[in-house]
Amino acid sequence: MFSTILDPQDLTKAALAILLCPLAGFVVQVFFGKRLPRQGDWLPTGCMFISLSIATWMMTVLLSSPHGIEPRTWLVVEGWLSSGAGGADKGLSIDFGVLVDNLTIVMLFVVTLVSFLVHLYSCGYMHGEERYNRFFAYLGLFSFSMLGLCISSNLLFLFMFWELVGLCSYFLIGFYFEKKSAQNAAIKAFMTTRLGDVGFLVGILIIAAFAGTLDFAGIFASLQNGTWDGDAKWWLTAAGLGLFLGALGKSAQFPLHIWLPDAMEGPTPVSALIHAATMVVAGVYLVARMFPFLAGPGYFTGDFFSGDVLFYIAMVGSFTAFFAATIAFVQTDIKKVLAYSTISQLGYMFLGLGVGSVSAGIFHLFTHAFFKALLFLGSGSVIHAVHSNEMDDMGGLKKKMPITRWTFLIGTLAIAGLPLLSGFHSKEAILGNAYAFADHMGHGEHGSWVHYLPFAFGILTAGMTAFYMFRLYFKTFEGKPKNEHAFAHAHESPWTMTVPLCILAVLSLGSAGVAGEAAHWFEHRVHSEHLVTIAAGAERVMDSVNDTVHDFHGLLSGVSMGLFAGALLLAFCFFIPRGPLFGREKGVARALSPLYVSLQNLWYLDRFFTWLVLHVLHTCQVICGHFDRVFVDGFVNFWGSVCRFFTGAAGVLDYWGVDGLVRGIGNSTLAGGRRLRRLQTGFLQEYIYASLYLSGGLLLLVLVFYVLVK
Amino acid sequence: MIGSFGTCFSAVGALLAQASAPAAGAASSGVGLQHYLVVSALVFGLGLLIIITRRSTIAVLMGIELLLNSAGLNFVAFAKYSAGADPLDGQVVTLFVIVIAAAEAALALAIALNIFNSINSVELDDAHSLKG
Repeated sequence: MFSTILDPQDLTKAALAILLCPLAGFVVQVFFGKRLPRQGDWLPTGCMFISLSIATWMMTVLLSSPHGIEPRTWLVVEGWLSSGAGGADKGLSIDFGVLVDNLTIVMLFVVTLVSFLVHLYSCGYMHGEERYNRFFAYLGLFSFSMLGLCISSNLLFLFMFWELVGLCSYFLIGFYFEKKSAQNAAIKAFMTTRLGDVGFLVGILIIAAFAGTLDFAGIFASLQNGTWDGDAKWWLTAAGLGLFLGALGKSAQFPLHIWLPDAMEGPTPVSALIHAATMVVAGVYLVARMFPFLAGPGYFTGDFFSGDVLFYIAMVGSFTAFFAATIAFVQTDIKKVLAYSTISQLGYMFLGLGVGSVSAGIFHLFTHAFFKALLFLGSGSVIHAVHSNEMDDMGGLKKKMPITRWTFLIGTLAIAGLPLLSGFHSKEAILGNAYAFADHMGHGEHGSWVHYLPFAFGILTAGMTAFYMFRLYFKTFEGKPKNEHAFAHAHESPWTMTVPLCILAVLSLGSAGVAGEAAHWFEHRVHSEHLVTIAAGAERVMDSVNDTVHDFHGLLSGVSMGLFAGALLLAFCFFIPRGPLFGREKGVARALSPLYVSLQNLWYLDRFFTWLVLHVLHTCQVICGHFDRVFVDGFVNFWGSVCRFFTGAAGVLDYWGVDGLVRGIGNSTLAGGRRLRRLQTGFLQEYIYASLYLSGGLLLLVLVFYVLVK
Repeated sequence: MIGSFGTCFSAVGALLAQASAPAAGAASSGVGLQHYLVVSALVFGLGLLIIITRRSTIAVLMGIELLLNSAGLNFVAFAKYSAGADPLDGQVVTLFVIVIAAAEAALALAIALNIFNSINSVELDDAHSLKG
C-alpha cells in the first residue's frame, strides 16, 4: 500500500492521504475523544505527524529536481456535480480532483508542519482547559479543511474548503465562548470574511458563465482561446476583482482587516495556526493559484500588467502593510501587535504577487509562516507565564524564560529583516520585484508616479516593522519587570511548548541558511510559469524584469540593512533602560497627539463600520418601513375599500331588491287579506245577502248569454 | 230595496221557468204550469226575504221552511204537467222533502238552543264572533 501512495511519479495519491489523516483524527476525536486516555490529544497530533511525514517526503521529491515536478491532476470523482441540458459544452461539470504541483507541495509542507507543531504546543498550553478534547477535534477539522483547500483542482472545491476553514475559525476564535468578547469576535470574523466571500462567489459565477468550467486548467485554457476578448474584458476584470475581494476578506486586508485583531480572543495556539500561518494565507494561495487568470490574456505574452487587477492587488497590499504597521506602533497587548504585524506581512505577500512575482509572494508566505508561528507561540509561552496579555505586565523576562527569550529574539530578527535570516531574503525578493515593476511600467506608455507607490509603501513599512517588533521584544524581555507579582510567578514552559519553539527557530534561521539558495530555489520552482506555460515571446519581458531585479539587488540590500540598523537603534534608544530616550515615548506620543489618538482608535475604522451598520442601515430600515406602510399597505387597503364599496352595493341590492320582493309578497298578501277580511262581518244574514247578489249576477249573465245565443 | 230586489228576482226566475219548461199543457186558459211556478217562485222569494231580513233565528228557520216547501211545489207542478212523468213521482219527492225539512228544522233548533246557551239571545245579529 505504501508504494502505491508514495509514488514519486504521481504525488496525487500521497496528497489525498495527507488530506484524509486529519479527517480520520477529527472523526474519531469528535465521537470518542472524551473517553480516550489524556482526552485524546495524542490522536490528532499523531495524525498530523503522519501527514507531516508524507509532506516532508514530497518536499524531498521537489528538492531533488531542479525545476520541481510536473503538475498532475487526479480526478478522484469525475462528474461529481454536472449539469447541462444542452450537451457537454453548454453544461457545467465539476469533478472532485486533486492537483499537485510545486505550489501545492510547498503549501502542504507549511500547513502540515505548522499544524503539527501547534498540536504539540497545545498539549502543553491548553492543559487543564475545559473542552480540551473538543479543541483538538477543531484543530483536526481545520487542518483537513486547509489541506483540502490547497489540493483542490477546481474553484468550487476550493470555495467549499474556504468556507469550511472560515467555519473552523469561528469555532476556534469563540472557543472561550463564555466571554462575550470572544463570541462577538467569532461572529465578527465570520461576517467580515463572508462579506469578502460574496465577491468570491460573484467571481466564480462569472468565470463559470464565460469559461464554462471551474477547473484551473480549463480556466487557463479559456484565457488562451479568446473567451475573454472584446467586451468580455470588463467581465474578466470584474471576476478578478471578485476573487480578490474574497482574498481580501479572508486575508484581512484593508478595509476588511477588522476581524483579525479581535480574533486574538481565541487561544494562542489558534492564533498561531490560523491567523498567522495558515488560514489567512488562503487568500494569498488563491491569488497565486489564479495568477494567470488575474494577469489576464497578457500573461501569455509576459505582459502581466495589461489588465488592472494585479496593480490593484499590489496597491491594496502595500497600503495595508503600511496602514497596519502604523497601528502596531501603539498597541500594548502583545497579541494585538502580532496581529497587526500579520496583517502588514500579508500585505507584503499581496504586494509581491501584485507586482508579478508569484515566487516572491509565496517565498514570503513560506518564511513568514515559520517566524510568525514562532512569535505567536513564543508570546503564548510568555502569556502562560505571566497570565496576562498586556506588555505592561511584562519586562525583564529574559532571566526567567531563556528558551522563550532566545527563540523569540530569532523570530523578531527574522521579521525585522536581519541580513542572512529568512525574512530578509523574502522581503528583498518582494521589494526588488516591486521596484522592477515600477521601472518597467515607467518605461511603458502609462507610466506615472503611482507605479512607485507599492515600492514606497513597502520600503517604509520595512523600517516600521523593525521598529515596532523590537519595541515588542524590548518591552517584554528587557528592562525591569513592571509587574512584580507576575514576574515572581513566571517560569519557563514545559517541553511540549518549548520544543516547537526551537524547531521553528531553526527553520526561521535555516530556511535562510539555504539563504541565497532559497530565494533562487523558489524562483526556479514556484514560478508563475509552472502554473501554466507561457508563450516564447514572453521570455524577453520576463528576462528584462529579472535583470532589473538583479541589478537593483545590491542597492536594495544596502538600503534595507540601513533601515534595519536605524530602526534597531531607535528602538534601543527608547526602550532599553540605558538608552538616552528611555521613557520618553509618552512625550513623543503627547507631541504627536492627534496622530497618536487616531492610531489608538485604529484609524476609526471600527467606529466607521459600526456607524455604517447601525445608523445607515437603520435609516434604510426606517425608510423601507415607511415605504411599506404608506405605499404597499396603502395599495392593499385601497383595493380593500373598493371591494367593500362593491359589497355594500350588492348588499343594498340584496336587501331592497331580493328581500324586498319577498317582503313585498308577504306584505301584499297581508294587505289583501285585510281588505278581504272586511267581507267577513260575522252577520249570517249579510252572508246570505251577498250570496244572493252573486247568484243573481250569475243568472243575469246566463240570461244575457242565452238570449244572445238564441 | 231588499223587497224590490226579491220580487225582481222571482220574476226573472219565473220567466226562465216559462221559457225552459217543456210545452206545458193549457197555457192561456185554466190553471197552467206557469201558475204553479209563479206561486212557487213567489213563495221562494218570500222565504228568501224572511231569511235575509228577520232578526230572530226562529223566523229565519221559518223562512227556510218556506224555501223548502216552494221547492216541493215545483216538483209537484212539474210532475203533473210533464208528458212522460207519473204525477205521483212528484208527490213522493215532496213527501221526502217535508220529512227532510222536519229533520233539518229539529237540528237547526237544537243548534239555535246551543247558541242561545252561549250568547243568551236568539237574535242573529248577536252571533258575530266569526267576524274576520
